[in-house]
Amino acid sequence: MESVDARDRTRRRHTQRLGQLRRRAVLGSALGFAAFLGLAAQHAVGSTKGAPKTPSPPRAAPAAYFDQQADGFAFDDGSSAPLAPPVAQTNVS
Amino acid sequence: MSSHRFRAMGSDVHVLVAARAAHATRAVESVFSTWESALSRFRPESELSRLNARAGTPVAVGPILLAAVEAALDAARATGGLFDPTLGHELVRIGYDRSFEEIGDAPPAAGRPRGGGAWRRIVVDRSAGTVTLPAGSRLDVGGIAKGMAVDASLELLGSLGIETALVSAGGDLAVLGLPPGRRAWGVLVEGDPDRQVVPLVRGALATSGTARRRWRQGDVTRHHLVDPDTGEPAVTGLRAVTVAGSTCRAAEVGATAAFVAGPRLGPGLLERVGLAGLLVTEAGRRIRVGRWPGHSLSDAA
Repeated sequence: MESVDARDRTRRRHTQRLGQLRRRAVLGSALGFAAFLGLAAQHAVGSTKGAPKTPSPPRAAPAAYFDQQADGFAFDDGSSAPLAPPVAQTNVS
Repeated sequence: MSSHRFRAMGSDVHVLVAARAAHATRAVESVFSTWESALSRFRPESELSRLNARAGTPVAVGPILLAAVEAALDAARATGGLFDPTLGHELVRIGYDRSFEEIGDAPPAAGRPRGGGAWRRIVVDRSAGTVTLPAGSRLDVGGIAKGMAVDASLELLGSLGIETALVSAGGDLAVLGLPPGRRAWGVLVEGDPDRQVVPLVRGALATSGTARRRWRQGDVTRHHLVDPDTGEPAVTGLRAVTVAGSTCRAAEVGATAAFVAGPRLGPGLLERVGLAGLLVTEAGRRIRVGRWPGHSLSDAA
C-alpha cells in the first residue's frame, strides 16, 4: 500500500513536471516566434544564407528617399520677362 | 561667369562659377577624379572592380563606395527595383564591358539574360565597413555615382564660400545660387522636340534616354538602360526622360526609374514621390509631370 506521504510526493512531482513542461512549451513558442520574426526580417532585408551579418541599411520609403521638401527644387514661374538664352544643357545619359 | 570643361566618369563635365572663383573648378575636377577612381567598373584597380571580382565574400570598402552602394540600395527599394544597381552582368553581356568610347561593334551576346533583383541580397555591414555581393552578381553604380559626384561637387563649392555655381556631368546637373542678373539658370533639355529651356532656380536636373549611349551588337542596336525584368535594354516607347529633384542623385534615379516604367506608369511614379519631369516618347509626344514648367526656346527668341 502506498502511504499518504508517498502519494503527496508523487502528486508534487507530477505538478512540478507539468509546470516544467508548460514553461518549456511557452519558451519554445516564444523562441519559435522569435525565430520566425528573425527569418521574416532576414527575408525582408534580403539577407543571404550564411551571410556574415544581417544587412542593416535602413528601409527607404519612396517619399523619404527622394526627400522632396517643398523648396527642394524650384522653377521660375516665368510670369514676367522671357528667359535669356540657356547657359547649360542636359545631355542624355 | 567662368566656364571650365573636362572629361570624367565617361561624360563631359561642365563647371560654371563666378569668374573670381575659377580656382574652385580644380576642386571639382579633383572630386570627379576621386569618385571615378573608386567607382569605375572599367578600371581593374578601382574599388568597385575589386568588389565585383570578389562577389560572394565580404569586401572592405572605402567611404565613397560604401556611400554609393547604400544610395543605390535605397534607390532600388524606393523604386521597387526599377532602378537596379545589379545589372552589371547584363551590361557586360550586351557589350557594354568597356568605356562607351571604346565599344565600337560589340561581339555577340554570350548566354541568356538573367535579369536583375540581386540587389535584394547585397549585405552591407556598416560597422565593419564591408559589402558582400551575391555570388555571380556584378554591381554598376554609374548613373547614381555621377549624380552623387555632382552633389558632392556643389557641396564642396559651397563649403569654399562659393555662392553661385552650376555643375553638369553628362545628363546630370545641379545649381547653387543664381547667375548674376538672372532669375534662373536657363537649361536646354536635350531630347525635347520643343527645345525647352528650363528656368531652374534651385535643385537638379537629370536626363536618361537612348539617344547617346547606343551601340551595335551584331544586327541589334543596344542601349544602356536595362529593364531589370528582362535583362535586355528597356523598350518602353520612351526616347528620353528628364527629371527635376532636390539633388542630382534623386533626379537621376527618378529619370532612370521613369524611363524603365514607361509612358503609362512613369508619370505616376514621379508624381507619387514629388518629382517633376518631362517624358518624351519615341513618337515625339511630350508628357509633363508635376511642376514641370512650360517655356520653350521659341518663347525666348
